[in-house]
Amino acid sequence: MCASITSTSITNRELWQNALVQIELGASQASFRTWFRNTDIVNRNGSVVYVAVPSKIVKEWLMEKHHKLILKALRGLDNSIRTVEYTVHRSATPVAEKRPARPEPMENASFDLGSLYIDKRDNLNPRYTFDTFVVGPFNQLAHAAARAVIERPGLAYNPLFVYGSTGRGKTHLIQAVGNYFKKMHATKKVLYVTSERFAVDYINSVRAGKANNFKDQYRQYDVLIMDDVQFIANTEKTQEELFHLFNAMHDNNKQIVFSSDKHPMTLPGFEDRLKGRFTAGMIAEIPEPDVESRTAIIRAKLENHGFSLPEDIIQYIAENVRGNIRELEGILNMIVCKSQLKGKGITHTDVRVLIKHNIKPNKGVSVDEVVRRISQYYEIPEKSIYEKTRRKEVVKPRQIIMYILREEFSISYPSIGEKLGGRDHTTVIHSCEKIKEELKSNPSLEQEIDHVRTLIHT
Amino acid sequence: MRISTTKEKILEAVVLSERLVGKKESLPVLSCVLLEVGKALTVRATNLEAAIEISIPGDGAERGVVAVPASILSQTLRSTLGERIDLKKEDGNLSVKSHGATSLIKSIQNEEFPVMGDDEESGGMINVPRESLMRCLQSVSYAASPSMIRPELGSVYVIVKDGGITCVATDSFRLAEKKISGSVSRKSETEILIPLKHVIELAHVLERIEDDSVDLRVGESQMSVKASGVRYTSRVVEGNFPDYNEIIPKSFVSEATVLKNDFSEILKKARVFSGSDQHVGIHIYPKKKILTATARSNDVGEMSDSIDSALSGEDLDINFHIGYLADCLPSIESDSITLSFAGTGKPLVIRGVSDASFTYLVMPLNR
Repeated sequence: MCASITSTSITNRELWQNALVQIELGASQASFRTWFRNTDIVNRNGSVVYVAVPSKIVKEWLMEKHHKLILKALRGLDNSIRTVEYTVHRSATPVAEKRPARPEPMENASFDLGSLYIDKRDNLNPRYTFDTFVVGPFNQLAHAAARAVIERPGLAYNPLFVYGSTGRGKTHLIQAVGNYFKKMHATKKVLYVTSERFAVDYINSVRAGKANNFKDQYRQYDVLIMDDVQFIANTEKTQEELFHLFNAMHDNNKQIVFSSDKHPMTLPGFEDRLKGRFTAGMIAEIPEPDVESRTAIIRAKLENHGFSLPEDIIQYIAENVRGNIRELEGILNMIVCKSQLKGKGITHTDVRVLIKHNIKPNKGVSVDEVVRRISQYYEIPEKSIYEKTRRKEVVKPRQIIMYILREEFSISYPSIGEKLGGRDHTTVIHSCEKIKEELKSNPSLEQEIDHVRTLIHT
Repeated sequence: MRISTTKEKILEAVVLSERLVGKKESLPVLSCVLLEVGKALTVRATNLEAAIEISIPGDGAERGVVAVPASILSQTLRSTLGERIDLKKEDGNLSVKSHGATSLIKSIQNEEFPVMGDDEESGGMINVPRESLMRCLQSVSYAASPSMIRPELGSVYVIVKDGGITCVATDSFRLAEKKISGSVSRKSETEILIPLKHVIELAHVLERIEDDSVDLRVGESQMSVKASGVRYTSRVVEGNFPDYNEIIPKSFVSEATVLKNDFSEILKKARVFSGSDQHVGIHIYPKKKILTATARSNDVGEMSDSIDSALSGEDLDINFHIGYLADCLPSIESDSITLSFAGTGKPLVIRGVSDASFTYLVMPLNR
């Protein structure tokens, strides 16, 4: 977590605790307990202190009856304070209600609501904050860049471009920037948008003949966060619009944050001038988390569940579930759920079985589906895969299909051959070996296969 | 202070107010109702998060204020036989006289009784039909979480939009939504999250109001409902309710239409045999045209019962928590209900046949 954030919040808390001691002396005990229960300093802006209270009734009472006492107590501690403002807690949870010591039994499945909490004004999901972002060696750079951005928005790094493969925490990080910003600057307007949404908005506004409204609407924001820019590849007009929007915001020192699955320079289907803009600020990669970071992430997630696992099991999971943090979360959910169902501790074997069964792609994807998606990716007709043609543009995708079917779905060589137009199993073996060989020397192929893999699993 | 009024009126006002009053308050005046006589008698009570104010007519009014413990006043009034009650402040205490009976209730210093700010000026006023609002709240409130750890799940989400009222609540295991359309001015729009405990009080208050419509006001961090003589105010939670439309399944693998009472009966029977787990298995076999419920526990034994139903789709065996299924039935007005299954591990949707106003989603058990 950001050092400056912690230090201010601790000061606020300490300030209020000390003030409360003073206030308690000036009020009757019953009255103090009633009116100052669940109060806190939520914010401090120069000489103004914002005190949060549980309800409007309490707010009015404090303003009317205890304002002088409060102000005096606070000024006694820090005489730069001039005013005290009262606000009602956004969602005051009574202090008495602590998290239950043991998590409720998770025998009943629950709705997956996590991703549905979206503030309609800015599309931000309040769940994504810096507090819940686990920092490890792998994402340190991206995290530091994001912090620099929130400290000096529009000036430090503009734009900030975060890239990395799926499930590495890009969205979490860039949304955390938005949420932090929103919290600190109530008057500034933040917008989080996926590039896809942006493109749809643009197309709709053009269709409705309101392209100008579209421009104005996006230019009003102080911070624009665009997720997954790779999805507007090959969209000439949308990219042009983004280019102009970028320039308009950049000239006015408005912060822009992008995320994508690739380095901006290797993004296919983007115009050079846009790529140039992407690289103008700071580019931070989020690579695959290292084992230590994965361990830290597992611990953090377990703590969220109010659950604990033996150290050796945590190690085992960290070593065996690689890359994708979302997958890691899925496995942990399953482990927590399973152990609650069984009502006793989970063993090493259980975990091994769970990982083995769940980490491999689901078997629901059919061979035809794989062929369809991959041929779509390479923009070749699906049926050419099954044909005997040896045209270069077909051969490579076909080999990749064989490789994926073998590696990801563990289908036997003969049956792969049979399914792809009655080929001999030696052909399949040769293809798989060839791709494996090439992977060693060709990083761009690796990226392609990564991409194909995510395509199949979504 | 002095006023005379009928027992019925004042008892009702005091009983309604007493529900709000805190039990163990460190400030004694918060366990009190405040009686204030101006032109009429006003009874007030608050627990700092919610407040109620009820005016009742009376005669022989002389201005004044007194605060007395709510429970003592309500018990006194309950056991009073006369129709007419005379209230009078004597030496700072409250004398209650009726039909030859006299009680003197010790009053409590009322300087610290909270001011209940008028919120007439804040926010727009929306006139809503009392019964629609009440039914909407009652149809969903049981699905809210009893805990306020996640405030939006511990609250009922009330939306006034497009001329109708929608209430939604979920504890993440089930979700209830009730829509009543065409009852509000199309110009009015608001969205609020009212914590469950205040919703229960609000519904209770609405039940006891006689007016056809009430004025709903949403102001800074609180909302109020006002009708003739009664004003109920409670805090609202700020927050985002999840975009719940996303979790309502769009396609189903199987569907069953059954009589609501039949379904309710087999759940009752299953409850007996389900032991402490309260689990029930629902099995549907469209080809054989039967819907069966089964339950078993080691201590009690086991049961299996089938009911007549119209079925379509695939065979399915799926387990639920009985309470989660049964909770929604009283809120469904039709005689028959449709159970639409989206598959194992996916929510079951329950609706009344030919009733689009109510939707209930429930998640199955994990195995």
